[in-house]
Amino acid sequence: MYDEESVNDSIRLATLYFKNEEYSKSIKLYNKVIHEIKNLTKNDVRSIRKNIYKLSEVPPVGPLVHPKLGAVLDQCAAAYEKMNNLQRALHQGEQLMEYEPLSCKGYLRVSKILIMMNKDLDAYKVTQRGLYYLDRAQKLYRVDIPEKHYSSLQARCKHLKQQLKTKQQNTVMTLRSNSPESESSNSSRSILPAKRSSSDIIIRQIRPTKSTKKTLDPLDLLTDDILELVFLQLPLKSIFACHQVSKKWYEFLTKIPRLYNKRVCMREKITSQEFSSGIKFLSRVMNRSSTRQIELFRLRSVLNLVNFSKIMDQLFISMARTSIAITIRELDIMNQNLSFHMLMNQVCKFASSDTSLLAVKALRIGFNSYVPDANLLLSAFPGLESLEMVILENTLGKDCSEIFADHFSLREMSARNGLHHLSLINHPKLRLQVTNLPIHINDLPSLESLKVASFNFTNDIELRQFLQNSENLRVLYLENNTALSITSLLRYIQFDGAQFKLRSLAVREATAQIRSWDVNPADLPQLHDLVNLDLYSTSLSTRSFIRLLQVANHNGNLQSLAIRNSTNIQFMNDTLVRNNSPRLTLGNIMEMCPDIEHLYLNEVGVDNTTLRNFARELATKRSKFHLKSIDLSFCERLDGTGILSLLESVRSSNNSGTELGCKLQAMTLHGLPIYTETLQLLRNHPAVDLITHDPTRLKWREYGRNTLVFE
Amino acid sequence: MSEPKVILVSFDDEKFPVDVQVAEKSVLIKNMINDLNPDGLQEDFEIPIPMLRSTVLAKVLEWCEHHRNSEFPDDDDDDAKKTAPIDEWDKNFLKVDQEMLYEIMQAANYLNIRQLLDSGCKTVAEMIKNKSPEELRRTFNIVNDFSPEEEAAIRRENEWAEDR
Repeated sequence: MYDEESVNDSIRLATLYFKNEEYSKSIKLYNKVIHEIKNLTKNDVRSIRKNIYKLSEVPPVGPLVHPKLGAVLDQCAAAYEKMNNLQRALHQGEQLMEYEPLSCKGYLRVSKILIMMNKDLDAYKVTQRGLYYLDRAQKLYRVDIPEKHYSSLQARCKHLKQQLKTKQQNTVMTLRSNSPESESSNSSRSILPAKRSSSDIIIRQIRPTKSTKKTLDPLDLLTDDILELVFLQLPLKSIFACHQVSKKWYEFLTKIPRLYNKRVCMREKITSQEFSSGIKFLSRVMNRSSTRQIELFRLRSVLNLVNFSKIMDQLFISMARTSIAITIRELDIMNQNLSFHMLMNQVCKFASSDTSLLAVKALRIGFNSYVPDANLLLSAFPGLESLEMVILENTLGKDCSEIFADHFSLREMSARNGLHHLSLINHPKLRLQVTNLPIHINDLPSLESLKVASFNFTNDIELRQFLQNSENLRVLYLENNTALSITSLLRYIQFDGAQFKLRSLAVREATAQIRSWDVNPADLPQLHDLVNLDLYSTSLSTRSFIRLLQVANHNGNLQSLAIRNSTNIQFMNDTLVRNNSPRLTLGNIMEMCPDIEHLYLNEVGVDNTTLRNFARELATKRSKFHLKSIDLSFCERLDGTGILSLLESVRSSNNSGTELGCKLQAMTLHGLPIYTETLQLLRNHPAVDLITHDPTRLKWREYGRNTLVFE
Repeated sequence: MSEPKVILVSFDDEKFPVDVQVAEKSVLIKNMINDLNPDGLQEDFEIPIPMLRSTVLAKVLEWCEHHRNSEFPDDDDDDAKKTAPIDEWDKNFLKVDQEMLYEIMQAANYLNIRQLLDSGCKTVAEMIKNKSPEELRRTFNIVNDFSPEEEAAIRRENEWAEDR
């Protein structure tokens, strides 16, 4: 039978043993009591709590146990602790925490034992847990917590936290000091004698405690992979400034080839000495890269011809060295000293199967004289996907193709399927002398884009064959060529049975003759998918232009239309009608191509009347437009009032809620005479987001900038 | 019954209950939740993050909370990522002392929160951009350990590059 009195007697006796340091005896008794009161039925416990201890039958939190159990467990744990049996002591303490979660004693006891076992982190977690439960119990159930125990629990928690923090910092410091050392050991090719001695590590370890200035060096505080992401954001110029910060920075940065190989651009007026140190540096850095590839390598002006020859030697030697060669993906050399002969001499140093030349996928090159036969370039760089050749000077070069032909005879193939983009840009003054294209375009069936500027097409057989065979052609750009009018081009496309579907067509003509042309729109499917149509100084009459527009927008894809420098295409304006030829309103254009987003009308007969008329059309027509930008630069009879009336109508059609209106994102008005006040009005106008206006510019064509023609 | 929460526990045992949607901004946590709860989360789910101090974890979660509905482009287009300017909110959010900034970046890397790491990298890059070596040393409390000759040699090494 259970007897509360005898239990109390046993506890008193065990406590006496404990005080007399007879721990094993006291433990024996405690265990007996614990066993006894733990095995009570729930009903017994309820009645004991209620009748003897005057407590509520059930504790507010935690399991239903005898009220003395906690105290006995704690004392038992203390006895084990005295006997240095920490494992048992811990076990008793944990039971205490479980049975009496609201007693500070359990957390204090267990954390103390854990500290003795050198488990600070676990001890800290126990104090955290205790404080968490106690705080909650206080808040939720208004349980009384003995102040003294609670504050010592708090103090212990704080103390442990502090200790762990310093401990963690120390380990972190040690880790960081160790890691870079191991990696830098293989940086043997450095120009610096930067081997770190082992004493450095020790100094760095103790520095945080000694020095008042904390290290904020990202190289110490961020891992290498993150640092790489940071430095990849920076331009080369910034990377080079970082080189000079410290030895560690220099070592770290020059280990990452990716920081240097994207855009290698040589400075203007470079000397061969500077170039040479650049190549040395790049070779050293690229040594760490598996591909040793530079994405873009660009060379512009050089101090003088002597330096240029040396630089070309250095460049090609560095590409030719078999074991440690640099490869270049996009090679870009524009220099007035470069002759075709000189380049081919360099290229001939390579074996015909050399991978360095095969690796060049894009070549942008400027020569100082016209090159009669540039097919050799394609043989020399057999991997080319894109070639842009510019003749920079007004001289005819001698044909040296025979000298080099032998060297490349193995690679002379009839058709080159690799080349996708070709730009041939001649010096404008050579246009009347040169009749042939320097490359047989009819041997290039895979071209997606062909751009030809300033050539003479007296003999057009090659172009016709090319158009007939090129199924992949998407972009055709013809500028400033003689003996090739848009009307003959359109006829070739129509009658030679071209298979391609163009996306972009630009024909910038050199004469202002007027020609008429007509077609059934369904008969020119090659142009039905056009997205971009660009005409400059066109020879098309107004009626022919309207027909071309119908062809171009046959499938409704046209998004961008440019009409520039044209007197042949007549717009509805306030001049007198010369004859009975049709006159175009902007409403006509928008109605024919309602999906146009960008409209460029420069140096054409658009005036204030044209725009007012357009405004009226917008107000009366019932179709939805998608215009985003309009460029009206250099329409000489146009001023601010006309533009304002157009914007007003755009706004009012927006307000009226009909679907005609559109808000313009951008309006470009270069060279137009607009008063400052009017310009302010336009800039603040709700119907347009951005106005660009430069009154000092005189004409649309800026050679080499918005054209392919250089001058 | 409210939605089950994810409870993140910091190094110093502070608990941060957050919505699943917020926690899943971290790919690491997202994977952990999915791996351990293949049928979806039924009850609160505790994840210890012993690598992070509570102050850092709190900051990171503040970011996740703010961006809980943000759609980030999923593409790995390096160029687009590189040229995109830093998010205005992130810019202000990362106006913290350098140590905190580095810790947030380490945390973002560990938890695999790409956009936060990205903003962090851009912030540090901004601190480096257009600064002279001396200004950089001042910014990061770094001692110049080059001799004048060595410094000159390094400067000469890069005179080939275009000045942009």
